[in-house]
Formats: sequence, C-alpha cells, structure tokens
Amino acid sequence: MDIFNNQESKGQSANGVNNNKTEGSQNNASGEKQAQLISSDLQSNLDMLHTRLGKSPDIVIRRLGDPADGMNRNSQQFALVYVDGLVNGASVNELIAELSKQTERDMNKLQNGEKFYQFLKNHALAAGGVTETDQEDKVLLSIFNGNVVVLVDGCATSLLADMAGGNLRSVEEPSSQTVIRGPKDGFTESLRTNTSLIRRKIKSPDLRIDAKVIGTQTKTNIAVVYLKGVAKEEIVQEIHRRLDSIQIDGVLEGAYIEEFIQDAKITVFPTMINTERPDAASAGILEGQVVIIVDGSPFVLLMPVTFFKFFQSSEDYYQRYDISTFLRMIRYVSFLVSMLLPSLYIAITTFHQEMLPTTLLIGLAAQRDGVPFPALLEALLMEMTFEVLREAGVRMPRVIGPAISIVGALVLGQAAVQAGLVSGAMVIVVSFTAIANFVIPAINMAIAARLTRFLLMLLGATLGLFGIISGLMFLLIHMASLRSFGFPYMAPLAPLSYNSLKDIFIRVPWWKMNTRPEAATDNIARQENAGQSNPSDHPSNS
Amino acid sequence: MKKITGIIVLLLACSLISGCWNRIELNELSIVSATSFDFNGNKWVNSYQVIIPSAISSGTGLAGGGGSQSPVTVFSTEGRTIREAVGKSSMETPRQMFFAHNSAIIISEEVARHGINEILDLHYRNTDARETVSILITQGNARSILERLVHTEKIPGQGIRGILSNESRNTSIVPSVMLYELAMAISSDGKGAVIPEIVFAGNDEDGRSLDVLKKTYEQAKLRIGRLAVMRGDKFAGWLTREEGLGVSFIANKVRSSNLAFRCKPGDKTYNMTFRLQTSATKLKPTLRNGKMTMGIDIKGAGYLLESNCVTDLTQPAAVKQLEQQLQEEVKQMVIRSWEAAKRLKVDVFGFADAVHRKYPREWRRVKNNWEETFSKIQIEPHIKISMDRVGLTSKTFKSSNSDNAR
Repeated sequence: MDIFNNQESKGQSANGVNNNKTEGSQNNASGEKQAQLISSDLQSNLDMLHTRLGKSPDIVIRRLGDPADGMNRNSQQFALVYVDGLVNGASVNELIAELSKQTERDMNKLQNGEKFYQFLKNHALAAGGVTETDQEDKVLLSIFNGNVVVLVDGCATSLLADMAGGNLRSVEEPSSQTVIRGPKDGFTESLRTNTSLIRRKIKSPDLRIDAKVIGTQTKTNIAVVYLKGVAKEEIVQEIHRRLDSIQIDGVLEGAYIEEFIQDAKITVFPTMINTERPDAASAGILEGQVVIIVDGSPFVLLMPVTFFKFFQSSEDYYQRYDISTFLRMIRYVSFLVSMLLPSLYIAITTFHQEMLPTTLLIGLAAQRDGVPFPALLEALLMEMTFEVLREAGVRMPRVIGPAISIVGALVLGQAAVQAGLVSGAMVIVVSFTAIANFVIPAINMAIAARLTRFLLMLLGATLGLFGIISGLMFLLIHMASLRSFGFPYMAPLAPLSYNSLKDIFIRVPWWKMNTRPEAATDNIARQENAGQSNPSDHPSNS
Repeated sequence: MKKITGIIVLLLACSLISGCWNRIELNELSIVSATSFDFNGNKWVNSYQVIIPSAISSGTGLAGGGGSQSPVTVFSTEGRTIREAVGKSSMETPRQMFFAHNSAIIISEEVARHGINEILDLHYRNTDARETVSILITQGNARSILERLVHTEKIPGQGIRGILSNESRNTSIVPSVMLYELAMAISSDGKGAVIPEIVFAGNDEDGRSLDVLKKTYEQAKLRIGRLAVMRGDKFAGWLTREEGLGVSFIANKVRSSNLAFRCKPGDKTYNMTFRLQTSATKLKPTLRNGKMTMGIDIKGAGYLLESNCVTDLTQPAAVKQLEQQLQEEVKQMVIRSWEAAKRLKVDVFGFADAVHRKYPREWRRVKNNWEETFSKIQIEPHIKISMDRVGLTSKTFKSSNSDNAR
C-alpha cells in the first residue's frame, strides 16, 4: 500500500488539481535525477522559464508590481505564468484584478517577499486548488496542466493555482455505442470530466481513483478507477505494476496502453474492452473491473474481461431480460456468421455439394455458370471490395458519402453480378457477413471475426469442412489459452462456473442477478437478500 | 517468434501441398437427377438425366436465358460393368458426373430379371451415390422414361420422385421404395421385395419435347403402375394395384388411403368412400400341430368422405354397420393379395421375419424350405377400423330430399 500512497501523491502534484494539499520536495519520485529548484530571485526565475520554454506566444508571463513601470517602488514584485488556452480566461482576469486590489490595500504590511507569499497563499489567491512547489520541472508541468503559477520575488517556492479551462468538448451522446433506452452521456477528452461522470454514478466512498502520469514527452494523465473491496486487490496491483513499467514518449489514446499491458502479445482477440459510455464503465466497476482513463481520449479501458463480455451491450440491462436474451443469441449467431459464412459457402460449394438441397444446388450452379473465377477467388474479390468500401466509408469526407454508397451498392454489387464477375449468391453471402459483423457490440471483437474469416476462407477452400473444423479447433485452443490479467478468457465456460452463467447466453432478470461474475472479484454477493426472489412478490401472495 | 513463424509457414504449406485434390466448382458438375439401367445383350446400358442448371434457374450474367431450353438432357453409355459404363461418360460430357442428387433409378424388367445385385452393391460401396434414391421398374426400355417431361416439375427426375412420394403418402396403394429399403427387404428372411412400376402412357413420340409443356393437357404422361415382386434380387412377377394395397396393409406400409366400399352387403355398386388416416398392422404367427397360422391384426381409423346411401348416420348402429362393411372390404383385399403372393411364392409381407422372431427354433427348420412353408400358411385377418367422424352432414342429400317429399 505504501507504493500506492506514494504514487497517489505524486500524481496529484502532477495534475495540480487535488486541492488544499501543500506539497514539499520530500516526495521526489525515485529514479529521477536531482531536481532543479527555483531560485528566490524573480528575474532569474523568469529567465529560466524563457530559456526552457522558448518564445512560444501562448505562454503568458504577467509581471506585477515592477518598479520599472513607474509604480510605487516599495511594491512587492511577483509574476503570474500560464498557458493561454489551457486556463479559464475569465478566472485569470478576475484573479489578477483581485490581486491588484488586495496588494494595493495591504501594501504596507507586505514589505518582504515571505510575508507577501503567505498572504497570497492564505488569503488573496482566488482559486479553488492551490499547491506549492520549489521544483522547476513541477512548475513547468503544472503550467501545461492548466495551472497559473505565481512566482514571488524573494521566495524560493511558487504557488500553483488550478485554473484549468479553455475549450473542451462538452458531454455529448456517444457516437460509437448508442442506445435506445439508457443514459445518453458519453465520456469526453477531459480526464477530470470523465472521472466526475463516474463519480456521479457511483457515490461510494470506496470508489478509488489512482492517478498516474505516463509518457516522457506528453506527460499524459492516467486515472485507474476501481471499487475498493470489490475489485481484486492483486489485479489492481498488477495493473499498477504494468502501467509503471511503460516507457514511451507519448500516450495519445488508451490503445497505446492496451497494447503494452495486455497478457497475450500475439492474438487477434482483444483482452480489454473499451467504451465511451460512463454507464458501461460504472457497471464494470460494480462488477469488480478496473477502469483506466487516459486524458485526451473519450474511450476508457475495462479489465479484466472474458470473451463473452464482448457480446454484452449496455442496453441489455436497460431493456427487459427476455428481449435482451434474444438479442444476445442473435449476437453470438452473428459472430459465427461473420466469421464462418464465406468459408462455409466455399467449402460446401466446392467440396461438399451433396450437402445442399437439390433445388438450391441447381440455383447456385446456374449462377456460377459463366463466372470465370473459382469460388475462393470470387469470395476474396468480394470481401476485399467490401473491406475497401468500408475503409473508404470511414475515411472519406461526409459530403461525398452518398456518392460512394451509390457506387458501392449499385456498381460493385449489382453490376458485378450482371457483368458475370461474381455470382449473385456470393454477393448475398458477403453482404450478410458484413452486416452480421456490425451486430457485435464491441468493435475490437468484430475485427477479430473479420480477420479470422480470411484464414478460415483459405482453409475452407483448400481442405473443405475438414479445414474449417481444424481452424476452429485451433482458434478454440488458442482462446482457451488466453488470459486477461490472469483470468481465463473463456470463463465461465472453461473453466465452468454455473454461478457466472446467468449473464452469458441469457440475461437473467435483475432480481435474479444476485451475484457478480467471478472474473474480476472475490466479493460476489451483489444483492443483500441474495438468493431470494422477486421483491415484488408479496409474502401473502404465495 | 521464429518458432511461431516456422509453424505458421508449415501449416500453410500443409494446406497448399494437399492441392485441393477433390475440389470441384459447381459449374464443373453434371448434376444427375435420374438414372436408368437397361440391358443390351450382356452389356449394361446406363442412361443419365443430367440437369442443365441455366435452363432451370434463370441465373444472371452471361448465363441468362432458360425457358426455351430443355431443363435436362439424357444420354447413355454402355459397358460390361456399371461403373465402366459410368466411366465412359467422360467421353461425352464436359463435366464430371455427380450422383449425390440423383432422385430416381429406373430399371427395366430385363435388368430386374437378370438381377439387381450390382446396382445395390455400387450404391453401398461408393460415397457419391446415395442409398436414399427411389427405385422404380418399367417394362420395356428404361431410358425412354428418363426422356419424358413432367408437368409442374421442372426436373423430371424429381417429378418422378414427387409422384411416388405423393402416391405413397396419400393413397398407399404402391409403396415408395428407396434403394436401402429394397436392399433391406431383399436381405431379410423372406427375401421378398416390391418395386413400384412406372409406365409411360400415351403416344411414344410425345412427352420428349418442350412442346408438351405448352399445352394445358397431357396426352403423354408418366404414372405409377403395378407392383413388381422380387424374389431375392431377381424379378418374380407383377401384382395389380388392388393387390398392391392389400400388400401394403399386411406389410404395415399404409399411411393413409381412400377406400371405396359398399353401404350394405347387397349393394351392386360402390357408394361410400372412407378416408383412412391411420393404420397399423401386427403379424401374429401361431404354430399349432405343425401348421402355421398367421394372424393379421389391422387397426385403423379415419372418417367418411363420401356417401350415396340412405342411412341415418346419427345412429351409432348405422355407423357400426358401415364399419363392418368397410372391414369386410379390407379383408377381401388382404385375402386377394395373399392369394397373389401365394401364386408368386414370394413373401413380400415379411412373414418370415415374424416367424423367425416368434419361433426361432422352428425357423431354422423351415428356412431352407420357406417358399413351400409360406404357401401353406393359413391367414386369419382381424380388421378393426373405426369411423371417427362422418363429416359435416350426417344425412345424405338423398335422405333429406325424401324427408321433404313426404
């Protein structure tokens, strides 16, 4: 726990956002070189800033009380330093006005720097969070985190006032994971907003937010959020250990971290879920999962996860359990379809024609008359066409979207069939495969199906159904060997746990969901009256 | 990492080295919808009815069209053995013969007289030909059956199968026989089997051209005829349709049927029709003083379809009386078919199995001489058919009219 404390305080000073906690130099992070301290001379401090920051126009240094300006030469000199755009302009203006007024009034009492500093710290600085530091690096970092640094002549420490602001996207509906019923708020690029969104949902004192800074250049703020007492202690520690070992110049999205800390390095299957939805993140936290929020990205990471987690959507829990169960079945089927349909089509039409009903066989044979390519090539051609269309659809400007969809649907679909390049059945197979792929709620799992599809197509075209089954066996063995932070990926099927099955293939009603899945927690009791039935059952009714 | 790459390369090589040896594209297949077997001297003449997919399904792209094209083409090959003849087909067709979707086998009477062992053997030996193919027999040239088009069905082979299954489901006079059923019957204790006959009715030149599909009536058509009886794998004789229904009753193969019967014992004409919906037969052999008796218990149920007889069907006694008439009718049918089987000396009913099961010791004694024993069996038909419903009207129009007249 000692390590945690250390990291906690270190992170706070870096953020400059946790309030009313003076910080000395005693919390030097280990392993860093001897920290540069700021001097007591204001001018030399400002010179230092000039040297280290260059002459960037967005860095504002506001000197006040300079006798060179013709002011009272007894006045105390100090300077405010901040980055324009990272601070809330109105607050800074207000702060400066307030400071001028107060220092004017109490000027005579504040002859020396030390007194003036104390006065600023205790009375005059009109900001919520004020910390102090005497290290150059921390001063610089806090400037970039949206603090206003106050340097006082004759004082070898500086005050850091949290004025973070500027233009940020507001909380909007998530664009990637929409629901019909359910909360419409989504994470934003601001870490602080994101933690507040989770805090708003889980008002438990046990909710822990551990701060971290990763990236030698970007100094990206990272928050590790979990529910103490529910999340497994060793998993939280393991996550901290893995995060601490990351050495990289910059972290711009959670994906950077995901690739560093995932268990299996070579696999198509994701072992972490990312979500834009605070409710999904909160639900994960309540089940003992740990959430990693990366400043600058609205996607947060949830871990540990099992394979089946990727087929659960937030809306499963907001709609009635019957329709949720039905939809979940559809998702599993769609996953198999999007992975297997083209390969099955190839294998059956080129190796196992006897498996088709006669009428269908004749229909397919008629369509294939005049198609010049073998079924595999035909399928690859259409699959690649679709992948190209899909990529184009994601990358191209919105304005020309309709043009591309017309070209895609008409030219590549219908015209390719009429030109005799591909058979009509193949177009149906590829389109259904593509549509089925979009049913999977987690994009990264959909991508896994997309990639394995091509492998299975090759196997199906060379070895028939035997090849497909071999490929699936290989996949299954691989999946069973995967771990997500030490927890088996295929749980609760392998190893089997009946208790956790209530939210896998079916979604039981909430009043039956009395335990948490065992993946991420040892504390599985979810409801006080675990094991009892529907609360709406009146005792007299039975 | 090197190891993993090596394994992946090896795996890929595995799938490529195998070389897709039995891969075949759909447009390289000659889908056979029916085959026939004839004899020419001592050579097998196989005929194949091959589907032309583009003529059936309009398709798309270059392979458009259809409609004016014949949906099938028929050709024959000759060989000393069946598979030799099949092998020769590659000299005549650009595509590989594909038998998995074969729906009917037509054998000529001549082939049946020679024996059908070879046909059974090759269907069991090979994976491409299925045992679930329907088997039919015809007098004369079997190939000519393949050349006929069937109204309403585009593929004649499937049409033949459709006629057969429709008939056996709704009339049960002639059972639908699949190749595996035939093989089972031949290898059973009784060694007797039946094969439905398919006949071509009409002018021999008709029914081969697409013109037949342009008329609203069929001058020339395929229809199910009699029942061929096999003793072992060889042809033994014919049963008529009426005898066929009796065979179906005894052999427990009736699913449902329309039975015409007389209202009263003295009636000259058949004036009632009964729809039999369920029927089950139990064979109960008894051996007394060295004489074999075969109890044939038939239980059935159904409803009245048609009545042209003045009876008050609201009275249970009247219904009872009708049931008795019906049972008598079925009994006569059973006796007639038994006589016919005795005439041919072929146990097409499965009596042998029933005897073997009940008297395994005596069976050993009689099995070498089963034909003789079979023809000496006494049969005791017990028929119980219940008339569950008499339809929406209980009286006939005749009776209600006479009420009004009075």
